[in-house]
Amino acid sequence: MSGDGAPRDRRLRRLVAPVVFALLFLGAWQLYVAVADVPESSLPSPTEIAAAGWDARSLLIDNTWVTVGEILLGFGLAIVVGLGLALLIRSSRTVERAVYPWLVVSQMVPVPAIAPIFVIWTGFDLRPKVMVIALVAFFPIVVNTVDGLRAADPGLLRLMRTMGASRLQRLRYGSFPASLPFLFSGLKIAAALSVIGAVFAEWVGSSEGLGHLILVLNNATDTATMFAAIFLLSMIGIGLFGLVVLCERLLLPWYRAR
Amino acid sequence: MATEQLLDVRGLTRTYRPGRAGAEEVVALAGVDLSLERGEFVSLIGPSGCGKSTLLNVLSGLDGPTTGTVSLAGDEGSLLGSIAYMPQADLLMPWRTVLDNAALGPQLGGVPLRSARERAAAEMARFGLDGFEGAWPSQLSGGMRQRAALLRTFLTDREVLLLDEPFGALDALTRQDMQERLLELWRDEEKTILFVTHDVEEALFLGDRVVRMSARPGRIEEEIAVGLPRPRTVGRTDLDPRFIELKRGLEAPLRAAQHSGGRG
Repeated sequence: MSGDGAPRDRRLRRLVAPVVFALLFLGAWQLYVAVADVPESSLPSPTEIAAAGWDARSLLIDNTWVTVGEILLGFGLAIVVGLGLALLIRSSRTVERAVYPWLVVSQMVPVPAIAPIFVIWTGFDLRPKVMVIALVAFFPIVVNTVDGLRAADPGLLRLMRTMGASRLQRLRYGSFPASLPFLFSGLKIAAALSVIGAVFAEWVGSSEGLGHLILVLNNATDTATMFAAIFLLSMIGIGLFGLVVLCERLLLPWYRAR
Repeated sequence: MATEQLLDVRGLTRTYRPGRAGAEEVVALAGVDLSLERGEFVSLIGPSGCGKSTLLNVLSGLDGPTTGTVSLAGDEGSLLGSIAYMPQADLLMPWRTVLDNAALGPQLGGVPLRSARERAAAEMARFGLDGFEGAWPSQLSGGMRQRAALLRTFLTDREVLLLDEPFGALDALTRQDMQERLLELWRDEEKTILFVTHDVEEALFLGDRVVRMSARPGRIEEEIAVGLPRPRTVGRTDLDPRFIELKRGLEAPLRAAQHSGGRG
């Protein structure tokens, strides 16, 4: 029994490789900056970034919370709209034909171009950011859920009919649970996209948030603090992704048992 | 007093028009007459492609007859939801535990999940599922999955059960175990069963009567009363000279039909 251990042990062991890789990468970066004598304004070393981030910690943390709030609201809106649209699309062939092509069109609209229009409509408050995030994040949710709602075994749905199941019962107990693994695939993509959406939205019209802070720091050529802000943005994305994975494990225990 | 016909099929035909333009109509069923008395166990055999599936689709209410009638306890209304149907594929929901899969029927009938689960839990032992209440279907063997599907079928509380080759995919030993179990359950629960199979031995071992269908277009070609004593057990019933004689008599026409025309 050398290869196996407690599940916890195995999970820890799986972490070793990526952590070692990250440390090697950071070490190489540090070494390169020192050896090649790169100026801090173009590429700060990891230790310089850490120091700058620590010095500006209250500024960074305040702006992190602003961006986190926008992302959670936008992501939440994307889930509600995405699920609602997917159910609507699957409710009838006609609706599917009418709506589905426009979903694709909605993704052809360049987000940086449409974000200022949202600002004109709603002003500089939270709303345009939430709308932009939802706009980029809802698409993978709809597309995956629509596919998922088709994924239930047709034999099962027929069997449910012989058991007297109504259309709504077939959806609730058949098609919908069968679609959940697809929904979660969509949510994972949407989690990553919503961070990008937040940065775009803040660049266009905002006086706070990490995206806005990056613009300000860029103008001030405070590259080290800017890198710290980028690091925090990545952490938000990783955290949101982890949250989705956690929900998936809790809600779909059967999916991992396969 | 005439015995009571619970399920009565009269002059049932079903034709299909294939999608291609100008294609000729396919006659799947050409006048099927079949009746099941209350409490009877009838086995239905026939060569591949004889229209067994079409017949079951009509009997379960998924499909309507082209002509002819099907009446359940004298009622010619829609059959959907009034006959329990068990297909060859277990069709367990992978997202439900064995217990919750079994509880599906009562739940769809409006019974609260908690009570539906209690009913299913009380039956686990009798169906050989003791201790597997919380297992996911993906963790079960084929035989266990079929037991769970059988329990789900019984818990729909219908009088008539249509079983479509339910043990077809199981290995021989598991199948024998399931056959004996099914006979016990049939006797205890006083169900009326139409059991479709392509296995002559299985048909004879289980049925009061064996009904043989012709190759397409399907119709009933022969009905025999099995008359073997019950309870039937493997190692006794299947060695009975009458069993062997009936088996020979049934196999010959099936083999002939399989060779001429019947789809692989």
